[in-house]
Amino acid sequence: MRTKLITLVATLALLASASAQSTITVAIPSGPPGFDPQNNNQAVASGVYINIFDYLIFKDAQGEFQPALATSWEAVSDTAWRVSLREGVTWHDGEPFTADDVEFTFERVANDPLLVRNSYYSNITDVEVVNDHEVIFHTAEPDPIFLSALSRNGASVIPRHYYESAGVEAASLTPIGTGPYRFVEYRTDDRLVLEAFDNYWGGRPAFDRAVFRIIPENSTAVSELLTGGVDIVTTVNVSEVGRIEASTAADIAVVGGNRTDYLTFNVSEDQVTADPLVRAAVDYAVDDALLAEILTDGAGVPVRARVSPETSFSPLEYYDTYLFDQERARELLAEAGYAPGELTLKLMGATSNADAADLVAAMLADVGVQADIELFEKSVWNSRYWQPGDFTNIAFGASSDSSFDYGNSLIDLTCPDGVHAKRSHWCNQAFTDLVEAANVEFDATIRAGLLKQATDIILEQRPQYYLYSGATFVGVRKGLNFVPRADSLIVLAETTTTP
Amino acid sequence: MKLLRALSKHPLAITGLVILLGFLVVTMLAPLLTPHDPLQQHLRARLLPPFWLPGGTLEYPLGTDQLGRDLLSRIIQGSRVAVLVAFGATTLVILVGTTVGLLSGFFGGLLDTATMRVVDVIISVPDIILYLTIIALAGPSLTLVIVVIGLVGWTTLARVVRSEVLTLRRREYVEAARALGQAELTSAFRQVLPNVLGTVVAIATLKASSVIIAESTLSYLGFGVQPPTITWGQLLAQGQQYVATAWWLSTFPGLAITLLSLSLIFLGNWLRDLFDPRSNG
Amino acid sequence: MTGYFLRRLLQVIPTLVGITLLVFVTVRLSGDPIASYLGSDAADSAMITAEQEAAIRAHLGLDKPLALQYVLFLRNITLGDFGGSFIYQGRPALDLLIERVPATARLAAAALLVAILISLPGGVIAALNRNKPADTLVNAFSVIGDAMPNFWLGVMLILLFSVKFGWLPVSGTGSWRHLLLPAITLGTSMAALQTRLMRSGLIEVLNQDYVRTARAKGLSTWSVVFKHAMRNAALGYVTLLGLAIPSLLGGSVVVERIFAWPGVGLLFINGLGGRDMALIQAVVVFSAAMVILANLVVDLLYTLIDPRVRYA
Repeated sequence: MRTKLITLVATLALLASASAQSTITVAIPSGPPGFDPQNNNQAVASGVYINIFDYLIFKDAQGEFQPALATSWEAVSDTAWRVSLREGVTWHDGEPFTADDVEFTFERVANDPLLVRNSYYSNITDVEVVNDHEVIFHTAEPDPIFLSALSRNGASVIPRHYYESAGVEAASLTPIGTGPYRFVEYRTDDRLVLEAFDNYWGGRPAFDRAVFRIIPENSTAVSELLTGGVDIVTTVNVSEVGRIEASTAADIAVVGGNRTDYLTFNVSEDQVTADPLVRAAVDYAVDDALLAEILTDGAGVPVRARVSPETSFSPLEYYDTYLFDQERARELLAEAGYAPGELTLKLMGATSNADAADLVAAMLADVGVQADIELFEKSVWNSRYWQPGDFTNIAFGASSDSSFDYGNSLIDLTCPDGVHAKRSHWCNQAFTDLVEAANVEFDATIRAGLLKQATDIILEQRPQYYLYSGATFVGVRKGLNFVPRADSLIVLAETTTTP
Repeated sequence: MKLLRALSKHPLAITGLVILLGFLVVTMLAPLLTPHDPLQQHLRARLLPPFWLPGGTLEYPLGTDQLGRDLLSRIIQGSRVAVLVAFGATTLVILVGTTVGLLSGFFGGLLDTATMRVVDVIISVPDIILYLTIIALAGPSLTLVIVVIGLVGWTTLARVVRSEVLTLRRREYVEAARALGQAELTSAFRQVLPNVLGTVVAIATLKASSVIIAESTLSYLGFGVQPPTITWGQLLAQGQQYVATAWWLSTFPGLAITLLSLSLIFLGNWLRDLFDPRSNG
Repeated sequence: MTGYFLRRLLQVIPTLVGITLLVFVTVRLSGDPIASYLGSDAADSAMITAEQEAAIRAHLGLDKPLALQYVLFLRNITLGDFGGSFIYQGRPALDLLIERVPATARLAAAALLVAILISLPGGVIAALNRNKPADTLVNAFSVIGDAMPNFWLGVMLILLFSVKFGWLPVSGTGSWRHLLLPAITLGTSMAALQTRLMRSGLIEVLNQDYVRTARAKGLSTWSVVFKHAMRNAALGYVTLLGLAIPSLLGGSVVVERIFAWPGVGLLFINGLGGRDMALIQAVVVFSAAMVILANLVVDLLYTLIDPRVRYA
């Protein structure tokens, strides 16, 4: 009798522990706007999509290309890439993944101008299906960094059969992918619930369920972390770092990345910042290291160009270095014809730039330049001044580049379509030619050389003045083996608990 | 004189008045009273606590923020905007509300109907939602904040004034004045205004307190007056980010807001009780 | 009587039209919606070519003359179509709104309950102890409730009850425990006004002749209060329902953000931040409709509670 009872209890206990689902909860500041990976630009969304969808090629934490849905790849010519696809992969609904899906995915984003990601892939002219597990990408122009395009935000592979049968709307509401987690439900601004996909080609992930909770107020998210309500907080404000460090429940992880904070100069003729001497003076007047120290609690690294160790082809001689020489700044100002106190520069930005603006203003004052700060609420700043480049003198900005390729990031400054060039009203043909040449150059050494020349132009002309390469703070509860990535992808498949 | 005597019986109202006068004095003398320049950074004295706590110093009596700026100086400086917004918006409310109420009640007819429709539109949308919609989309600025809060807030006042006018129109002395040939509008003003003034002031005072809270809420949501202009709402919102590690940054501005608001409410309550014939105190 | 209500309902229409005009004009005059379509929180600089921009503009109907856009907008609203929300990838704004209403409704109901639980006993105690210490205390609390910004209170409550004591969850939805702190935050700001109204309403009633007579006859204070005074004070209290709706909707904007409560308020804030015309319009019209509805209901309740009230 007693043995039977013990057996019963043991079985029940076993069943109970087996049925207890393990859940990992991540706090994100805003929700993905939908689940069409080709139609949005938001960092948060891409960070989440990586759990539902796969790329063809996946960059690991060291930035090396790893096979994902593609197992091998090679450039067969300047404008053609042969990619072999993984076999035995199924979509969340059981259908097999084939080359057909790859053709559908990339031809869709390349051909539809209404999709936000369109311009990143418009270089693709055709996706040729060789057989069920092999495709050849044909590009219009030679594209040495084509592989980066296949492993960046926007390159998630989507299922043809589902998009065609259910329609785009349904497909972007309840997505189907090949990723480690399948979609269960999404309550807008509340939570996204995913559950582990048994047949994932990379093996079933450690956690049965993944929940993304949307918590806009950062102090609330941190409070949740400290009380065990969430396991990870993806972006922790500098002001909250101390709270997590002081607690026994969680740790702070500092992640690099290529998000760079900078000042953009308006170089149009009617501006005082049209004078390169003035721009140079600002460069020498501002102490990048001090800014990084105060604004990012020392985690940011001063830079002179938009570089970072994780970005390929990054000229790292401009990383962790900056120009700061107040005497030189004063000399340059005098050369430009300004006596101390004579020059007034406007500093514009969003409310979140308030502290940075104050610090820069104080530094400018030290060399005899009056600073006039004008800040705006974020959406007003964005739509009225920032996007159209309609600001006076100096504007605060920050950008990152999910392709993690330096040459790609320089496109932003090319004329006439580069976003940053438009904002700065800077059009330099020599620079544009160099970048365009570099981005069709397959030889790595030659490419690096061209990019260096292009960088020299930026350093001399200063349409933008780079401050520091940002760091992100991530809060992780103790006992969790989560590695935050430089590209902000929240990869839960590889997350486990430490024993 | 009668007023003062009435006042002396109500300690709360007196407290309110004293606090209000105190704020006004501080606002006017702000540049003389701030121990430091409110915009001056002291990068080696960042996030210092108030002087009575370990690490604090009398040099920065209420502590410093993340750029080392003196909190007390910033609060004093911020009182200027608080008072400006409160007075500015309230004055607008009084002017627009009284005028509209008078004209609408007196002339009646199409003007009255149209006005009441406009009032309906404004009061149908919750205040903060209306403020946010207009300010967020047009882009926040000090002037806009004052104007929007003022132009949304006149409705209650207008209605009260209008009903006073309607009541008085039926009374004889207006008829009599008309019979004597006095211009109608002038007679209306002369008769109605004194009766209405008390209520107007009472309502306006209470309105002023909600204006201050509204400004701070706008700032918290990011749609308030932008830096480098200092407002209490902004200080509160900025301080909110450090609420767990540097509690003084949000607590003292919060106290300032609460205190000024309180003083206006005490005063307003007393005034309303005074002028409302139906209330027994 | 029905005539009065029918007329009131008809009057609602021009009011709502006025609101749509107000919102439309504000949104359109305030800047280029395209910028929001591209997202302001971008990981990558959105490289949009001129052709793409033209295509997006045509797709959103932004290339038509302004007046025509308004007329189309108005027509669409009457068909229940507020447009697709940019920031939620084109989902119909009305659908999103309807999805979020239950959460805000739960919060509002709980907050109203909190407000009543505070203001009812508070107002009664104050009225019965007029000008004595208990009255001053209640007054002071109610005034502080009015004067204190609710977002400050919300964060403080989290730090105290969730983080420090660990009694309640920090944010989100789930159980009644999740509802408690947000309801208290939202409810206390309303409780202040309601307490005062309860108090003054009760005082007024207590001073009336029939009540004095009842007391003089020896009836206990309590029975007088409950039987006679409360029923009459209820009239004034019902006004509160009319006032409560705008206050609750407005307050939810802040409270939902702090507590990550997925209701209409949070939807609105996101819409504003993203300059999402469809969302902003939908929420504003919705809240106006709610307020108008509440007022009509209050008027109806008046006639039911007090048969002497008649509308011309």
